[in-house]
Amino acid sequence: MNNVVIDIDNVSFNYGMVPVLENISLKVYEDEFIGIIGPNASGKSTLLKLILGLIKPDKGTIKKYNEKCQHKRNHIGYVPQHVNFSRDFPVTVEEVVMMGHITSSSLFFKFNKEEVASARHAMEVLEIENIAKRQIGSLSGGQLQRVLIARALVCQPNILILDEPTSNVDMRVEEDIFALLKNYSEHMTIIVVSHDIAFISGYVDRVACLNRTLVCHDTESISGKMIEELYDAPVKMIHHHH
Amino acid sequence: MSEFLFALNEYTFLQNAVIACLLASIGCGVIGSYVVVKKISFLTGGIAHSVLAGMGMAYYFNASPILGAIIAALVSSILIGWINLRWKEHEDVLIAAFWSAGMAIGILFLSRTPGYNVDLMSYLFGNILLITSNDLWLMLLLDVVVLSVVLVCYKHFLVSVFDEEFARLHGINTEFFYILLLCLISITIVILIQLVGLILVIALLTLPAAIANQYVTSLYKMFFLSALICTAISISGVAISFEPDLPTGSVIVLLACVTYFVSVFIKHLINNKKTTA
Repeated sequence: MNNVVIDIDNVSFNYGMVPVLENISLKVYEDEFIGIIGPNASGKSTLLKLILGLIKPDKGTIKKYNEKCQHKRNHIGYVPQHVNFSRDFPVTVEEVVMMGHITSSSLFFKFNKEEVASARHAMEVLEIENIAKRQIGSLSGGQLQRVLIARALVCQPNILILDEPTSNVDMRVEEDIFALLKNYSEHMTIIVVSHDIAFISGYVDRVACLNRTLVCHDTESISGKMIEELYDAPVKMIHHHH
Repeated sequence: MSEFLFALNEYTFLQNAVIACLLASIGCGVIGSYVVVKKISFLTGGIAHSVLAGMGMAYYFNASPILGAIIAALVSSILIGWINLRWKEHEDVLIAAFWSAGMAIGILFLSRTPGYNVDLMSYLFGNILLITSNDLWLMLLLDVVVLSVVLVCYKHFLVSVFDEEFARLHGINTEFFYILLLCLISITIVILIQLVGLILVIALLTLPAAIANQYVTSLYKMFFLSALICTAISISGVAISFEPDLPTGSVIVLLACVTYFVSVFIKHLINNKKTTA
């Protein structure tokens, strides 16, 4: 068994009086590709924010281990569902990708050669180098998603967390993105939140079903009944073979 | 126009005015860009108007009104920023309160100041032709402060303004940089007050940058372009107002507004052509 990289132990979280997460426990292992699914308002984004450390749990602990990564900072890359910038924000694709390098100790304008090189590499991998000079507001949903993934990959994280990475893109782009993630998951822990269980179960190693509480399944064992329990409604199961 | 150029050669007060335009445009281009991309022009207006409190008090206690303005601007920007971070949902009310309280305090102190009542109008609407060389040195100093902070922290500001959550994940103290940005705005307001007065400051901190925003793809390019636009507008304003002896600040602001609308219109035409072509 691989090392545990994230250990969520009995975590609860409330927004005011409303319980969002109750007694969540989950161990994420090194180089695992794990999907978190659940209906709207099931606490998926909240769980991600807790893992990222943007908010603190009311109860329980979240430990993150970081043995593989030499540089301590930014060992988690994060791809948010939305970025609330206005369409005319004066920043290019290249500059957004470079933001992945920015830490509290980055001073002045310039980036060093390694930083530029790794950004270029990330843009090549995501096939966005031809739009590097475009302004961010002029991109399509799929292009923007690739830019945000490149930004997260640029600092070579050992854990990558994505919140609904394919909610604004069409099927073809969705397949591309997941194939790419599958590729990365060989040497990177990836956590992806999605509402589309049928789709992601073809890629991920394990599925965590979240609806205030959390149940984990191996991908093979996902059944129609289980989805019905989760979504509290009959769901049509689409079988896909790989 | 030739008369203006002749007078420019002749009178130091006009030369001072033109140098003041240049110095003000530097701060205006850089900080105005942040005001526009972060969409805090109303908040900026609030800080600008609360400056009158500091000026009024300074007059009452017989101190330097510009010093009073700097202190009041910094205090109100830190207060507005700090309260706003904890009480976000009432931002507009908060701004309105600071806006009006600042003016009210200023008027109260000015009304109690004995002797000849100072030229209130020149604080409210600016009087660029009265700028002395001491004022210019102060403007230069404030510009240097603003520019060096922006130069050193360019990346921090960029990422915090563009994507606050991402900035926090990367260990950047976004609350600190938010308040620091408000402080830089308040320093720039003090620079600009000499030019157009505190009521019209908001025009110079938004319009040139908003014009520039239509034509650039990077924030640092926006700094340069909006500084350039601000220079052109303010010097033209001085030139136009000189002969008919019009209030310079008002002419500059109206020029900025007209340029903005013309620019929006032109951009609109270009976009229409692109989509129909």
